[in-house]
Amino acid sequence: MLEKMDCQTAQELLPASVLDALEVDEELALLEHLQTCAACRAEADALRPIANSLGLTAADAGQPSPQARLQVMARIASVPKPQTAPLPQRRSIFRPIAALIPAAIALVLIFGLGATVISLQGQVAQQQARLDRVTQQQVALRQFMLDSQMQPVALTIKNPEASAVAYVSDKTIAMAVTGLPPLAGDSVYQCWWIDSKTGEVKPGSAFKVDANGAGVWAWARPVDMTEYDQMAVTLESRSGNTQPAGPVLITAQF
Amino acid sequence: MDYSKLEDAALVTLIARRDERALGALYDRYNRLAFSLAVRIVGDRALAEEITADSFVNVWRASGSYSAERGRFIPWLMSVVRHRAIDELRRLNVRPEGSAVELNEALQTTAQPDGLDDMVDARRRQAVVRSALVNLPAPQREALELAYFGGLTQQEIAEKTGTPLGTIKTRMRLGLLKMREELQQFDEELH
Repeated sequence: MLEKMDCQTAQELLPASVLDALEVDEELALLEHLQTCAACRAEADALRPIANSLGLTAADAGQPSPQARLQVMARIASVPKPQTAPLPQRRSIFRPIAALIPAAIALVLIFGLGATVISLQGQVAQQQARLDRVTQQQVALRQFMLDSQMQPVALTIKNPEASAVAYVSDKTIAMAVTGLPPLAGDSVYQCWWIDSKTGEVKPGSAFKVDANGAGVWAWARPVDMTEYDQMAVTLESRSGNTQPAGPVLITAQF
Repeated sequence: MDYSKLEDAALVTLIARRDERALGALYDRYNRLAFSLAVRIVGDRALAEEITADSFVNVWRASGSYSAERGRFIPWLMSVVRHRAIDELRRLNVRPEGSAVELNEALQTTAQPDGLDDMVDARRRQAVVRSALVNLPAPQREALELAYFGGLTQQEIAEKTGTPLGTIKTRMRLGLLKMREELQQFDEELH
């Protein structure tokens, strides 16, 4: 069983991590640690711009051709603008409710304490359930890391802010991501298994990320995995979609 | 509005609102830096031009996720360009031989951004970064450059240079932490 990484080890790995120079197993273990350690995340955030500053030492290669600028401007003009939901209209049906607000406040004051206790119990239950899920994921991930048959997966990451690594064995696929945009509402990141020969798309697992857009998962591969030679991750407005509808963020080729 | 006089963060805010002139201004300011980095990594001007264009389109797409509070624009742009270029290297399965450019030559001809206000800061930062890099012991500098410009992992660097993995890890860590010290001093003096 793999030992949980401590802060000292994580801090030793961070310089190489921000240079993308760790091996996949080290990066996965580090990402797992960063999920739960704010101090090490802060250190990573501090080191990343130092590493990126190395780009400033590149020798002057002059400028790209003037046509390049025209191409950029033409391409951005064709990028769809983000969807903005119309503001909800205030409906007159709600106006009479305003008269009930003082009574509602009194009820809240009377029952507030009891509600707080119930709310806390609910939060504890939610935290426990979340912890159980995290523990299950970690156990699956650690079992996977001990699998000597695992192979790296070539990923194409569309979002320049995000980074991801994935490994696959005959039974499991594990993926670690960081820097994905935070999710709003019921939206989820959704995996899809794709048969490029027939075009068949099969929904896989849905997942969410933490406040840093990070997460580490290990999933069972589909039994009929040999039919699927590609995987994609999309951003979906809700879980349970049977076909991808949102933008593709990551693709993988097996 | 004279976009060329706006600070980077203001331009990115305008880009997030889909102001095409703001992206044009950032392109004019930093295309030389971005292109030079791409050339350094992939060693091919035509490919570097494509990478530069893709990177600015990615800035347009991802501008909403940029936060000035979390860091300056230039390192963010460098990160976008580098990742796109390293992806291309891996796709082509090409690895540069050693340091692609002699460091001394590079330091004498470092790409200059074209612009006004933010450029003064950028040029000073460039000077500090290259000074910090040149002051590192050569093995530490080599480890950082092979990782950053070559996209190599520590294990790959150890194999390529015939150096024990533990030594590479130490060189990389010490080198980056030393650079951090010098850049922190610069930031403290700047503010």
